[in-house]
Amino acid sequence: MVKHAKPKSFYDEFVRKGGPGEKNTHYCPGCGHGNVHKLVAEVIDELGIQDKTVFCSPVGCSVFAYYYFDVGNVQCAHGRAPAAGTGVTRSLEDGIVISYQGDGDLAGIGMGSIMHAANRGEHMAVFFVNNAIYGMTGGQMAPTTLVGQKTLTSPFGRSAGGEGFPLTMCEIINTLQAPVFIERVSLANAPRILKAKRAIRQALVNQVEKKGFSFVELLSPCPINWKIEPVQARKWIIDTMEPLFPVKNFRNLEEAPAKYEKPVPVSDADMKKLFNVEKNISVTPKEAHIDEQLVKLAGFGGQGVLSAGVLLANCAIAEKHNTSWLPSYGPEMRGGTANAGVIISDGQIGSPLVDNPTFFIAMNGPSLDSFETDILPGGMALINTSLIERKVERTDIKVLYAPLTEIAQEAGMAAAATVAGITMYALATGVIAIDTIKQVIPLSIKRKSLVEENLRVVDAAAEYFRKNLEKG
Amino acid sequence: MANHVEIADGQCKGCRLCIENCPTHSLVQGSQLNKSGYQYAKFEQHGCTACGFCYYMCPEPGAITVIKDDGKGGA
Repeated sequence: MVKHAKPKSFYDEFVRKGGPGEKNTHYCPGCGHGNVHKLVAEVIDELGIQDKTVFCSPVGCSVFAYYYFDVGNVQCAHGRAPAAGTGVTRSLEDGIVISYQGDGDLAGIGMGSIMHAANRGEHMAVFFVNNAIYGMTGGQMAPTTLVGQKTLTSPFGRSAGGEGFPLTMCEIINTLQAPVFIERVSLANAPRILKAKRAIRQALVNQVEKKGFSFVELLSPCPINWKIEPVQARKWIIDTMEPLFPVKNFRNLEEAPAKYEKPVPVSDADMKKLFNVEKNISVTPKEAHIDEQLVKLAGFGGQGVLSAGVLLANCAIAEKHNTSWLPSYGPEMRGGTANAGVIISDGQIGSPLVDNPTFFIAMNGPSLDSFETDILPGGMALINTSLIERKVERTDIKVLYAPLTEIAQEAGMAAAATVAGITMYALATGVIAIDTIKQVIPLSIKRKSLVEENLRVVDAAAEYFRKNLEKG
Repeated sequence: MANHVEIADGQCKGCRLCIENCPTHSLVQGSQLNKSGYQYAKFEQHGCTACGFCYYMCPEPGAITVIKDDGKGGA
């Protein structure tokens, strides 16, 4: 009777190394990865979860795990297996997610990913293979390299004063509330390996039972980079690694401290409430499709450029167009120049960037200086003559000049000059009805006391446009 | 057939972990090289109990198969 044989969750042949018929892994003689692979594959067999397991492999020597495990596989960017695994576990309801990582991957470049996945209590089993060195790249110092340990980049031994102390990941993860299972095991000898299998099994049973985040650290040898014979390397784990990395269970909870809540998409109705636009707006349906509008509004910070962009986008939504609004954020928001791009289209909108506007609203001089050359030939520019003295130099665009700030000021609210700009955009292009703007303003403006003033600005701007620009 | 261990010669990398961890000293390093150039392990019957230590120590997925005597005389 066969008592122990190659687990079924492995492929029969490993096509990566050598040619067809190859049965060997690419791992060096005596490497611990093979041991962990076998344990994981055995447990997958025992639990009957091969068809629903997704194995997220790291960057490092185990980067090729997908050549070995006959399960779902994702090869993740360096250190991001817990992040990729988060996506998988949240979208694959019955999936069993494994994040398999080394010490450079998990405790170095991927420290942020693992900490946040653990802190969220994501449903995944993390198998952290700690061999205290960067193996794949040839034996450089890793986050878990021991003090005094010689590596390629610590040739005189790691110095705590210069390079810090080795990170003890189980202890660090154990400071978080969400994980349900944390254990450190060792691959030093057969009894320890059997104990390691029990920990791996518990971590995967926890996934089958939807218990939550489970973390198993495996102290593993890297004979080649440690420059120690395979048999001696296993002894080195006991003598040198285990005193610093105690082999023990840190946590084994019956249930997670917080029950996992699957995020649900917000309904259209709730979205309308969130954006305070739940009221119905009556618009006259239009037959004709509009040309794609690439609108850029620019001015100084505080002039209301970004809010005016939101108003325009909301009007476009009200008229059943597709729209995007992308503000340019940054230190320029405070007193410098600010700008927002709004795209209005009856087709799909790809990038929300407006690099070359079909309609440009310049609220101040520096904005015109910055963007005049970007306007698409045949496009339009609306210039706020209250603050811009110079004329537009381009001759291949249509230009409208209007004292937007003064119009707004006379209507009772200088700060609404950008609303005057939107009004004139609507009249110049015909894309948005003035009536729509007036219906959307009460919904779009946060301070209700200012609604009246804004509506007066719309009327004043419309009147100015009809008197002075309509024929232009 | 008595408890025994089958070693896939071509898959052994000669790391000696199975040999060193066998409680009954039933495994030895052979003198021949396989096609990868490793001096592969060989099984010698010295009271093997089919404990599986060699299997778990071996890092290669398919190099070692452990067979337990089921009293029926077959493998």
